[in-house]
Amino acid sequence: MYPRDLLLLVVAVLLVAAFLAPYLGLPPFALSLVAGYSMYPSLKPGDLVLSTAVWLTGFSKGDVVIYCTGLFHCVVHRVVEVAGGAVVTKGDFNPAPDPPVPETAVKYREVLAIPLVVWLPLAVILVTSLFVPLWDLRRLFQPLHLETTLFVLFVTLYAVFTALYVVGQPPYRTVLQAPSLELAGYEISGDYTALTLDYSTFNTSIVGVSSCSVVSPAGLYSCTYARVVNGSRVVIGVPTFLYKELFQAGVNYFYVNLTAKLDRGLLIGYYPIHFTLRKPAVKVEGCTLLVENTLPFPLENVSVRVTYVNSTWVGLVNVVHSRDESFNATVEPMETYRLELQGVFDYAYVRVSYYYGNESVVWVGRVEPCSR
Amino acid sequence: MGESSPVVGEGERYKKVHYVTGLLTLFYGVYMVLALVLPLYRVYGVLDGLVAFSYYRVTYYGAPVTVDELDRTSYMAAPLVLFTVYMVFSGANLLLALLEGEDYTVQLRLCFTGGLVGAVSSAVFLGLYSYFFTRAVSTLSFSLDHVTSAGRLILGSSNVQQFPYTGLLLNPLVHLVLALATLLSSTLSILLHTGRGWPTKPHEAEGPGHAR
Repeated sequence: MYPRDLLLLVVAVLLVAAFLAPYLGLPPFALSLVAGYSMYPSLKPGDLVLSTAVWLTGFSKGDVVIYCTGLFHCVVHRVVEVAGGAVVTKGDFNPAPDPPVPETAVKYREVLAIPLVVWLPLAVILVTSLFVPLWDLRRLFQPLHLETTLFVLFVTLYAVFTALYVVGQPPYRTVLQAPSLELAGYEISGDYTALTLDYSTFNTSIVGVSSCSVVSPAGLYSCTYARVVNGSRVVIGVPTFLYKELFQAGVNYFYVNLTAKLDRGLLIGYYPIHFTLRKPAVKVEGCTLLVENTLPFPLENVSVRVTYVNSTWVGLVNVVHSRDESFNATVEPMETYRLELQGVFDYAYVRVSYYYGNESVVWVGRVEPCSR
Repeated sequence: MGESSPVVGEGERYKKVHYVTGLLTLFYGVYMVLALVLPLYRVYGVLDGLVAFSYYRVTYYGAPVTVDELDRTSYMAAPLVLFTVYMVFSGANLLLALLEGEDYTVQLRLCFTGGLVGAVSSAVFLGLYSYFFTRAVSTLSFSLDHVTSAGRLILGSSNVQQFPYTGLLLNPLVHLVLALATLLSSTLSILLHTGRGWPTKPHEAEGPGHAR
């Protein structure tokens, strides 16, 4: 055997021993290849890690150590804690630490990391030089040298570009901002006839409404109208008779089913809408009785009874006379029933009664004459 | 017609094989050019465009976008581009040398090397590269539909469709067969050209087109 061949054999044996060292734990030095992004950016995939046995140099917190968890699976991570005979490691790029391992499981400590782009070309050149006379290009055109050189060049190129692809930045995806919109809120108009749906839009706008309906336990009704305002607001008309049905059923919500056209797609929304009805108000202004219907439907069977009271002194006796007048009225939605008390009277009692749902409401008040 | 020497006559007889080698090398090169240049995938929907091995053009709602994964695979195509140029150059050069009656020993060796590289590494690399490439292309297929507080947003999707020839151009087996055919043909050419075995020294060549 030639001395050069013997040297090659020794180098080959040493290399094999170094690569097997993490599993064996005995050789003083080990070589490992990084295969993932867990230690990025300290170690990248393809990096060659040269490490020394811990029986030789020991290790402490902060060191990058190597331990094997199974056949053909070793971990190259940083020590974050050493306590009670256990070691906790964590990859620099990992969000959480690894499960603890016994201190005896740690076999090697990293001393040097050679990037792939450095060690691979060097290895290729070294191996190529065994076959190709790179130091004498005249010999290139001798038999087999041209073929070998070109072949090695192409293989090296492929290897380097594959390596560059693998050891590039950690894999990530191009993020395309998808159009989106959220429901910012809704508001029912004072007269309950319009519902405004406000949206916060992102990279899109509402261009139209293709269908709109109001869904309630009482039934399904079409919106009386629907229009888009400024691309981010939809105003829809709610049939007012719906409120009466809901009010009588004791329900204070309904649903809006809306299909809106976007400039970049379609929106299908189904929104629960809660509403609060304001109770009709009865008040007296001067000698006028006011019954304000604040409901979106007629207030029917409003019964008003006025008792006019007059008193006169006959001698020392105060004689009181009274007369009653009764009215029945229906107050239209959002309108006010006015009853001006006329005639001569000292004062009057007014009794207003109506039904607010299932509740009987009675209001009694005293009205002074206007002429006083 | 004058009687030619036995050596020259033998060389003339084998020229057909050399032509086949040149044509195969050129065909393999052109095939690689097609694989690199022709669009292999059509993207339609919210993303729209064409994706080839060495380039892509994709728009998102009409605006051109860059796709990181495709950028990386495009850079990775560089050695294949080089190899393609090499094969086209070698094949065409051999054919020209044959047509013009020049010495074509080196051209034959270049074709042989091309076949060897193609058979041993290019097919493997192309297989690996195809995997990365198709993986990158698959990221272009997605749906933008999602649900927010506003409701269900139907915004469309992006779909990827391959062309009828994509499977043929991306198949490493086809590349391997072509490379092996080139390799076998060029090996045969060299063996026939040199008589037996490899030439020992360049100065032993007996004239144009002969290395013996």
